[in-house]
Order: sequence, then structure tokens, then C-alpha cells
Amino acid sequence: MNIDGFLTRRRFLRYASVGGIAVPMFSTAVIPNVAYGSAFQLAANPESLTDLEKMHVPKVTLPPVVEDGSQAPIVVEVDHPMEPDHYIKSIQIMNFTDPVVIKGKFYFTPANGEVYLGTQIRLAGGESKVWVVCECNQHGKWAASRETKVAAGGC
Amino acid sequence: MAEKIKPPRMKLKRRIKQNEIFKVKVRFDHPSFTGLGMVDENEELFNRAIPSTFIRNMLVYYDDELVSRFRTSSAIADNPLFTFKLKAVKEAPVKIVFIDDQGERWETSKDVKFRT
Repeated sequence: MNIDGFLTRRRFLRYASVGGIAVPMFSTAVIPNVAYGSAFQLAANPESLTDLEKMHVPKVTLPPVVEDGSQAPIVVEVDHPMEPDHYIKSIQIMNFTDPVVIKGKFYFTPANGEVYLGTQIRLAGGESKVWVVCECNQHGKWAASRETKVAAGGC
Repeated sequence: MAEKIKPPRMKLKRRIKQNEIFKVKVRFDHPSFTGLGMVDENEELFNRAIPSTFIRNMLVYYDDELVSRFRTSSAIADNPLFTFKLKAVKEAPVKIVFIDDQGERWETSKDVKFRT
């Protein structure tokens, strides 16, 4: 390819000026991060929680050993105010190693007064890590997990 | 199957202070199974062996206002006992409605009465 005939001094300056405007313009364009909306936050240090984490990270009570995986008791509490403009919208219980990952999604309103949920779930046999994600209407999703060993699988 | 299932039973304190946050317990004797059978134990592969049956929704009304909705999957236990809290702002009935995956409905109701 004969570059001498194509790239004249005039053309070089024109392309350089267009590129000098276009590249910085597109590099600063806001690209929405779709994944951010579904991401959840974890406690940075579970031993010493910040005030925001204390308010949002769910407290999960699950026995360390479950004899019967078809009746694993779980209690979830969140120390969060339930005011009309600031409250916990939902709690979701999941276990990614089970054939049915989502156990349930539980929606709350300020009329509940406190976020407290007790129920029984099915867990597959072996070692399990149960995740609980709670969603605040102002501060997004927060997660906590508990590990348990299931003697007899219940799925 | 639906005819044999008894209505759910709800338990709450007889007398509640105004603005007290109280526990509501509701047990529903409804079968729940994923319907999954293990194909290969070594690889933990499952397939749909039988149709699944489970409680799909639990709706909580306080004075005819929907205050909570629990959407459950087939991975909830048989005959589950749900415990949650409500704030006693008025003397009014608490009604809980269960709907299963077949669309069948059951409900139970109890009045919140204030301690005098």
C-alpha cells in the first residue's frame, strides 16, 4: 500500500484533530453498570461491623449440623428500623449447591415493625453454605452466610 | 389432594399492648416436595421424577391491608411453621392466605386485641 500518496500532511492533521476530540469524549461517556444493580454487599470484617453493616447484615441462625435435611430450621433477623421511608424490603434464602437454589423470597413492609423470619427449608446432603440476602430500600442488598453439615439430604 | 389438607393454624398473644411488636406463628400442614430424583449419586445429577407440590405464596393481611408476602419454592419444608413479626397499631384482624402451586387457597384469621 502506498502510504505516501494517501497520508498527506493536511490529512494527518485533520485525523489527528478529530481523534483528539472523539477519543476523550467517548472515554468519559457514562456506561451503566448493569451488574451493579444485582450485586450485594458483605461485611468487610465480620468480627467488627460498622454501624451501617450492623444495621443491614442479616443475622442467620442455622444449626451447624442438621440431622434431617428436609426440615432444616432457619431464623433470620435484621436490626433495621422499619420506617415508611427506610425499611427492609425483602429477604431471600439461597443455597447454590442444592438442585433448588432459591428457598424463598420474603417481602416485608414498615407494618412489620421488625424483620424476623423463622421457617424450615430443604437442604441437600453434605456440606452446605446457606446465603441470606436482605434488601434495604435505601442501601441496597446485603448478604450473610452460614455453613452447615446435613446428615440426610432432603431434596 | 387439596380436600384433605386442613386449614392453617395461627397463634398470637391473646392481649397485646398498643404499638407492641408481636410474633405471629402460623403452621400449615401442606406437603412440599421438589419432585427431583437423583440420577447419578457420584455426579449429584437430578431429574424430575414426579410432579412437584409446594406452597407458592403466603399473604399476610392486617386490617385488610397486605403487609407481607412470602414467595416460597419447592425447597421449603413439609408442613412448615412460619414465624414473623407485626406491629400492633390497631385492633383489627390478621388474615393469612396460603396459595399452593395448583392455585388452591386456604386462609386463617385472628383478631388483634389490646390489653386494657
